[in-house]
Amino acid sequence: MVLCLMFFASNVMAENQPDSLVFRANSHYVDNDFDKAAELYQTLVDSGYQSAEIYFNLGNAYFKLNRIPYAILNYERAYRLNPNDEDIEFNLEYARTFTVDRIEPLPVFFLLKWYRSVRQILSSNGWAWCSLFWIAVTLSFVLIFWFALKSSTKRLSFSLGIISLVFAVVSIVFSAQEKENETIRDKAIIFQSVVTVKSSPGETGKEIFILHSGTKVQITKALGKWVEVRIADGNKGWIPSESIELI
Amino acid sequence: MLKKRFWVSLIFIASCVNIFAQDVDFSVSAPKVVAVGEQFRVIFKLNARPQEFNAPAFDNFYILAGPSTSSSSSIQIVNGQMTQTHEYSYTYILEATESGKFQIGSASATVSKKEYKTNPFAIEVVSGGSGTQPATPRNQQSTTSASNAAEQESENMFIDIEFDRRTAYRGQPILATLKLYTRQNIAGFDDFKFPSFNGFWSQEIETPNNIRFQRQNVNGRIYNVGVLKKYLLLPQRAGDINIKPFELVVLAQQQGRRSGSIFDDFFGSHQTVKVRLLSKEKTLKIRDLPPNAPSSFTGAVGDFSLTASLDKTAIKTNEAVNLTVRVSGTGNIKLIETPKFEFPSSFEIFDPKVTDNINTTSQGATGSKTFEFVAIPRGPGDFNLGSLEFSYFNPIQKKYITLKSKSLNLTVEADGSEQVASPMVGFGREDVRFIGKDIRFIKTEGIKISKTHNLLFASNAYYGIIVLLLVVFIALFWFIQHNRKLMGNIALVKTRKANKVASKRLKEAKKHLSLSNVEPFYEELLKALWGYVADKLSIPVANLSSDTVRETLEQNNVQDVDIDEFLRIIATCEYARYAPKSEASQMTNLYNSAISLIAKLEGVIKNSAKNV
Repeated sequence: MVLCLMFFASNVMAENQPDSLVFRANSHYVDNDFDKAAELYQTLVDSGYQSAEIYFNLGNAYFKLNRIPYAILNYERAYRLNPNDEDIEFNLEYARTFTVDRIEPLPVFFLLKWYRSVRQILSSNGWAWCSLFWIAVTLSFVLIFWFALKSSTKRLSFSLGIISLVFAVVSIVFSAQEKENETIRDKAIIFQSVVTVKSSPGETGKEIFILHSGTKVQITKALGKWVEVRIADGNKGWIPSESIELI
Repeated sequence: MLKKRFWVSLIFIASCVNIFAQDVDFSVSAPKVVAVGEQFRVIFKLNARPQEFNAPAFDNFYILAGPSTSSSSSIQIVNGQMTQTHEYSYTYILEATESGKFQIGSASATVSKKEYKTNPFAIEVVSGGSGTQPATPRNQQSTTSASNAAEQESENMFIDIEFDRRTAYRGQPILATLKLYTRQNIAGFDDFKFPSFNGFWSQEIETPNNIRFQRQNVNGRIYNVGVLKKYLLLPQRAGDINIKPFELVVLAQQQGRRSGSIFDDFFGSHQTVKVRLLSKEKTLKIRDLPPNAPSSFTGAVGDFSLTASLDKTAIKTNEAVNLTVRVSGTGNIKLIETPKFEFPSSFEIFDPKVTDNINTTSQGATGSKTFEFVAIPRGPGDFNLGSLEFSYFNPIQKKYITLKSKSLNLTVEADGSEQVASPMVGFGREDVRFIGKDIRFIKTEGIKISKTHNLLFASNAYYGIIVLLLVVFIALFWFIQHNRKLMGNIALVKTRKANKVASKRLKEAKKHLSLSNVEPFYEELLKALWGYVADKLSIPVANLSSDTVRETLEQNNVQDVDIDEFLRIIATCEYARYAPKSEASQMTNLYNSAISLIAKLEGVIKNSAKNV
């Protein structure tokens, strides 16, 4: 309870000033002054504030300004912070239709898909709170088990305790994995309008394929000013690092 | 309508006046081009008797004869009405002396004290030979080879395609005129290959069937020029477009070559020769339209005006309303596409009916195109349909012009069928129609901003909370444990141990039984039974009596039979204890029944405790 209060207090303190910025940016957006709105959101982001909603709004403003790579970048950032928001997903999908490259993603094994979709129900923080809850439940069942006079009560509390322990372990694992997902920045958006992907780092590398701005890539290696990227269909190659922007 | 009638009647009256007044017509006819030394006529015609006639001065020309006057008059009687026409003509025969272009002033004539003048005209005099007296026979005698003859033909006769402009915007009409230049008599045409205007949308303009030749000076030579055909071309693409040449086979009349016969010379025997003519290839430069086209631009080029109107301003639902859009003007009117117009989504719209009334002349296509939209409103309401926009490119001003019709308003009243239709649930339902797609709106509420994205997992707070939970757990554990001990709940311990104590005592009793110690046996048995009940049911020893035991056992759902048995054993024991004698068999029976009873009570009391 005390911790919650502390969290709340710190949030309130941090919000005081940028809140008005957000409000102004939103009203610019409503007035179709997307240039101004994007500028204000960007200053917020640049000064280190992070929020899925701000990234989402910034993406919207860039989309309206027809700067699709910027829009996709910010939608992706919003999605990273909040993978369960329907609006973010919708706008990201819609913005992607404006990009040039159509890449067929590799099929994902259905069990893995289910696993991921279950894991994405909550964010890392959500799973962390969840794990704390189940730990508490498990401990209370231990108490009940220990002090129960009747054997039936003992049996029931034992099985329920085991189940809650399983829940606790699962949510701890999910929380850890989601945390990794949220902190590791290995995805990027291509910003250069046309990028030639080469087989090896450096200008001399053989050209393999061509990517266009707005396409999402995963960075697998980095060497000097070159990064090895992997696109959704599994193809890999090297591109200059200045042609991309990390999500 | 009324206005129209008025104008028609006015025109009719005006024409009547003309007839009665016998408008004086004074005109001049003269060739435009003549050769030096050629004799020609200049005729002034007048349809009334002049009091006075003054010819203009014919400088630079010899007047060989004239003015020779001739007059004719005719009288017509139609239905008892007499009309009389006169014609007076003054003819001059002139000869050109030197080449050049000479202006001849106007002639004047006075008819009933009024002076009339002809238009001044110009005569061009060239030094070359004339078309009517071709110099070909002389030339032909000297030339013998066929190729030379062909050259001669091409010199005497050629075809050409002329354009009113060589550069145009895409969609801007170009007038193409196919002309025949000749210095020979022509008997007819044999084969005509029309030019294919690739890259153009072409339309033929009506020309008179009889070709009327006019004299024209081409590089110092006089040709008779006739217009074969006229086309109106609308360029469809930009760039330099080549116009492929066209072919014409002319049946030309030539003077016979076979000399020697007197008859030939005398009759001037003519020979008809087929001459194949080919025009030259030409190039037209078509410019593309400027890029900043407005959204309502659909390809119209020219000069247009727009009207749009609804036939009704107030209707009921499910009645049709017509929106008539009329685009009129000059330009590529035939190629105008249907202007876009968005009705509200509750309107059912049918494909527009397109009619056009286009007059193609050498100036371009003039007329109007009418689009009739039929829409049926399915729901009531006051609708402001906005105004219809139409854009075109004006090639003269070189810019796009957007026309806007007046704002269209429509009131739709409910016709009452909605209520009738309501019992048929689901009849008028339809899927949601998507008319556009856009991103979702920005988030305006619940925006949480923080400098850092705090991750709870594996953070200090997370571990802190776990430690807190463990501390609470241990504290609770300790607290409960301590409480249990403190309360000391001996009764509970006793209850637990009741069976054990009882069995201990019973064992003691059995020992006495085997030793036939009567009194200690009964004593132990009694202690075992009383003690068991007291411990098990937590009855204080002071309160122990047969009544309290019965009561308590009943509360614990022990059957009456068992209670009676219990009390019987107790009573027997009490009695036997002080009895002088007792049989060993009786003791054994009593012992066995006591064991079975305790076993029974153990089961019953446990179950009853569970149920509670």
